[in-house]
Amino acid sequence: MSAVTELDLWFVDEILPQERALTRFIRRNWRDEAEVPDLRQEIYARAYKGAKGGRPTYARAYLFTIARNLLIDRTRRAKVIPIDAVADLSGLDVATDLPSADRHLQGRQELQLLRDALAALPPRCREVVTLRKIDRLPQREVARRLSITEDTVERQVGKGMRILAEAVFGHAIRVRRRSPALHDGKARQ
Amino acid sequence: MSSAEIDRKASEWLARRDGDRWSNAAQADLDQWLAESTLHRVSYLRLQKAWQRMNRLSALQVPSTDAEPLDEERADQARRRRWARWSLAAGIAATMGLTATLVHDSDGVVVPAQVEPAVYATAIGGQEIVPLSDGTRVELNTDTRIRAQLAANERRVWLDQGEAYFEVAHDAARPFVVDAGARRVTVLGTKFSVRRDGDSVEVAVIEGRVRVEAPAGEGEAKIVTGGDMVIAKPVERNLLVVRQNLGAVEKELSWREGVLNFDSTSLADVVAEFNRYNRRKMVIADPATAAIRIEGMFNATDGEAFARMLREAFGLEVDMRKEKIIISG
Repeated sequence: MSAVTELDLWFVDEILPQERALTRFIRRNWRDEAEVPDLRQEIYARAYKGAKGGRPTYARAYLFTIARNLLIDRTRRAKVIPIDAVADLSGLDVATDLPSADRHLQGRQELQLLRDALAALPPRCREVVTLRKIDRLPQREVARRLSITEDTVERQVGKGMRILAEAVFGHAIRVRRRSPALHDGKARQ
Repeated sequence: MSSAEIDRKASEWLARRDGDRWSNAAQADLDQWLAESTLHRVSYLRLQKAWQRMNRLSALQVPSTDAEPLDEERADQARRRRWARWSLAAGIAATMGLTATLVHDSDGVVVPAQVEPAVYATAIGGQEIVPLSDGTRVELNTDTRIRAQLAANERRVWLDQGEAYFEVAHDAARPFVVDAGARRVTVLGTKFSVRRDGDSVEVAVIEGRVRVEAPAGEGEAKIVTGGDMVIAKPVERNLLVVRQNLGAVEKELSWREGVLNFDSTSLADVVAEFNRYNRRKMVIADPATAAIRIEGMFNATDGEAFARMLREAFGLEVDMRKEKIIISG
C-alpha cells in the first residue's frame, strides 16, 4: 500500500487479534456455517469504516457490538423470522462471555503457532513458503531451486497466505496467557 | 463478491508484491483496487498481516536449507543464546544509563535518579513494540536503544541511538520528554517519531504538537504540529521545519511496517538507509552510481533483494561478498 494509514494500523493491532473470538461468536449465532467468512468480512469492513471518525476506546466491545447488530439485521431481513434467534441476540451481552484477546503471544508461543501453521500447509505450498520465509529467498530464487515458474511460486504464495491467515488468526490455542493484572499471583502452580 | 473471492484477489495482489516483478503500474492498480471497497482493504490488511507474521520464522533458519529440518532443539538453543546476549547488553546499558542521568541532567542540576531507567534495545534489523506503564506505546526501529523513566512529575525517555515512534498517553500533569542528545522534545500527548544519527536529530509529527529545543534551552525552539518534520543538524543552531502533508510524514514512518519508502532518492541515501537495517553493508564504488535516483517500496531487512534488483532493473554491477555488497556502474 502506498501509504499505511493510522486506521490500517489500528485495524491490524486492535481488531484482527479478536478474530478467533469473533468467528466463534458468529458461528454460535448463525446457522449457516458457509456464510461465516462473508459475515466476518462484512463486520471487519463496518468496524473499519466506523472508526474513520475516531477510534473507539474499547476495540473489543466495539467490534462485538457491530457483529451483534449485523447478525440482528440479517436475521430480520431474512423473511424466515426465527424469533428465538433475534431474542437471543438482543439479549446477548457482548462484554461478558468473551475470553480476552490472545494478542500478545510470547515470542516462543508465537513461533510455535507459526510453525504449526506452516506444517499444516499442503506439501508444495509448504515448500515454497519455507524457502521464502525461513530461508528468506526471493520468489525468483525459490522458483529456480524448485524448478518451477515464478507464476507458480506466486500462486503458491497467495494460496499459502490465505490458509495461514485462518491458522494464525483463528488458531486453536494451546497457549496459557499469564496476565499478572488478572491472576495476580493467586492460583499459581 | 463473496469474501472467498475477495480474499483470493487480495492474496494475488500480495503474492505479486511479494515477488520480484512488481512495478509502479502494478502499484497504481493495487491502490485503485484497495480504494474501491472497504471489503477489499480489510481483506488485504488481514492477509498481509498473516504473511508478515511468518517473517518471524526466519529465526528458525539453520545452516542446511533443506525444507524439512525445523530442528527444535537447535532453534531453541540459538534463541537462548541470543536472549542471553541481549539481557547482558541491557544490563550493562542500564548501569551506564544511571550514571548518565546523574551527570547529564539537562538543566545542569545533579539529581539522583530515584528509579533506575528501564533499557530497551533492538539489534540491527530488529523492531520492537514497547508498552510503557503510563499507557504510552513506543515502537523501536532497527539498531535502537532507549531508556525510560516515569517519575511522578515527569516522564522521560532518552534516545541513545536509532529511531523510535511514540504514541504518548495524555497526562497534562506529567510532561513527556524525549532527550535525543543535542535536542529535546517535549509533549503532552501525541504521535511522533524521533530519529537520531549522532547529534543530528529528526522529528516527524503525525498528530498533536511537540516542542523541539536544545537541552539547555539555548538556540531556537520550535513548535511542530501534525504533518510537520523538523531536521536539526549538530553544527547549526537553527532548526529547519519542513512542512509536509500527513501522507509524506506517514511515508517517513513506513519503517514501522518493515518497509522503506523512497521517492526519487539518491542511491547513496538509499544505501545508507538499508545499511541501518542490514549487517551486510552495501558500498557504492563510484559517484555516478551514487547519484542514481530510486523510487519505490522495499523490505527494510532484505538488502540483498534490493541489490539483486539493482542488478536486474538497472543493470548495475553487484558484487555480493561475504561481508559486504559492492555496487558499481
